[in-house]
Amino acid sequence: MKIYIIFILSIICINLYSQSANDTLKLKKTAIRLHFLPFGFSVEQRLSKNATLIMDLGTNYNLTIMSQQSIDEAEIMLLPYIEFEPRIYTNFQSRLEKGKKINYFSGAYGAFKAKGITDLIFEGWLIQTGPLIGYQSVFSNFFYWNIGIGVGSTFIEEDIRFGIIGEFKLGLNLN
Amino acid sequence: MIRKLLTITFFLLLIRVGFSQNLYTMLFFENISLENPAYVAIKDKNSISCSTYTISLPIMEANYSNSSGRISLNVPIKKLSSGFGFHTMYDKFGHFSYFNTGAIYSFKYDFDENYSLALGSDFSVNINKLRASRIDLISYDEPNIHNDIVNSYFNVDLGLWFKAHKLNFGITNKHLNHPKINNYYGSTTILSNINIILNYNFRIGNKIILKNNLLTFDVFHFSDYKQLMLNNQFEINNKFIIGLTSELYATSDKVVILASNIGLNLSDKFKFVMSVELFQISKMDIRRNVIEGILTYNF
Repeated sequence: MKIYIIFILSIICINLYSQSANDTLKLKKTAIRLHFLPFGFSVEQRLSKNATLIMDLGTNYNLTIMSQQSIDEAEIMLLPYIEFEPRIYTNFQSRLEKGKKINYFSGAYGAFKAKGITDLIFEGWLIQTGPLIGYQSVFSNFFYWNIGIGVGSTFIEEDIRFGIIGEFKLGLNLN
Repeated sequence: MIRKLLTITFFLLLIRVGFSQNLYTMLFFENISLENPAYVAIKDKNSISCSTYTISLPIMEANYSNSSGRISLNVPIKKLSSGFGFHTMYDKFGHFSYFNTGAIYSFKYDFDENYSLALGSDFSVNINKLRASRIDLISYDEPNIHNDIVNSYFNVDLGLWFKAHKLNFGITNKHLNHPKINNYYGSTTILSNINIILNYNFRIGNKIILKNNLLTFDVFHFSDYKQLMLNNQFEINNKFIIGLTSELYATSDKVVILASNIGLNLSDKFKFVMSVELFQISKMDIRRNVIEGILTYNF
C-alpha cells in the first residue's frame, strides 16, 4: 500500500516540477458531472496544467439470475462506491494544435485509481487500487464518456487479488 | 479421485512455482530487467511498471484461480554509467503465498555510440508461506497442518547485456547461489540455470515498427525446466501495439501455448500492454486461462 502511495506522490510531484510558468491552456478549474453508467456524481478538479483529481460517488449494479426449481429469479444488487483518481493528461497540447477540444478535460490520460465498494446486502466491502490509462471525451458540450484500463489489486476483506482493472462511464456535464 | 486431484494440483504448483521463482511471463519483453539485471543500465528512461498475472484452472467441477502482482522501478544514471532497480512481487496460490523483493545494480561500458556492454546483478529476498488456515485441497489424506510454514531464502542473479546497433543480446545466470527452500514437501534446491534474450527491432515503412523478442530458458540443461518464448509485435504509429507470443515447454509433455498481445502507448509516458492466452496444445488434458497486464510509466 505504501508503494502505491509513493507511486501517486511521485507522479504528481514529477508533473508539478515540469510545469511551465506560461500556462497557455484554457481549461476549466472544475468539472462537475452526473453519470448514469454507472449511476453517480463526480467532480474533476484541476491541480496543474495537466494534472487533475477526480472524486466520484456512485453505485455499481450487479444483475444476478438464480434458478430455483425451474424458476428464474433476477436480482439487482446495488454496490455503492467512493473513488479517488489522480490523473495526468498527456495530449492537451497536441489536441489544441490540431484544433480539437480540451474543455471538460477531453484527452488521453494516465491515472491511479483508488476505489472502495461496499455490499449493502452481505455487508462486505472491497478496495480496488491500481494504475490505468484512459481516454475521456465530450460530445455536444453536454454529454461525456470515459474509458480506462490498467492493472491493479483488489482487497476483499482478508484476501487480495491482482488483475486487469477497467472502467467505463457515460453521463452529463453539469457546469 | 483424490490422488488425481493432488497430481493436478502438484503439476499446477510446479508451473506456478516456476513462474514465481523465475517470473517468466508472456510479457517478459516489457520489463526485461527482471529477466536480465544488466538491462537497467542500458535503458534510456526511468520507469515504474506494475504488472499482474492471473490464471484460472478448472479442476474437477470447481474453478481454481490465482493471481500475482509486481511493481518494478528502474533508474538508469548516464553520468555514472550505471543503473539501479527495485522490484517487489506478491503471489498467492491457494494455501501457498510467495513474496519477493530485490534490488538491482548494473554497470555499462560504451565502446562507441552503437556498441555497449553491461553487467548487472539482482539481489532478492524471497519468502514462501504455507498458510495452515487456507488448506483445503490436500486436507483429505494429508496430515493436518496447524501452523503456518514459512521459509525464506536469499537469491542472486547475474546478467550480461550486449547491444550492437539494433541487436540486443543478454545472458543471465539465474539463482547463482543455489538457494534452498524448505517447505511442507521437503527440502528443495533451486538449481542455477542460464537464460538468453535476443531482441531485434526494425521499421516497416514510416509508421510501423516490428519488435522481435526471444527468451530461452535453461539452455545448458542445468535444470529440467526447459522453455522458449518468442514474441513478435507491431507498434503502429508509435501508439497501437498488436502481437503474438508463442511459448514452448520442451519437456517430455511438450506444451505449446499461443497468446495475443494488445496495447497502447500514450505520448511515450504511459504504456499499457495486456496478453491473453488463445490456445494451447498439450498431451495433458489441462485447460487454463491466463491474462496478464503491464502498465509502465516512463519519466
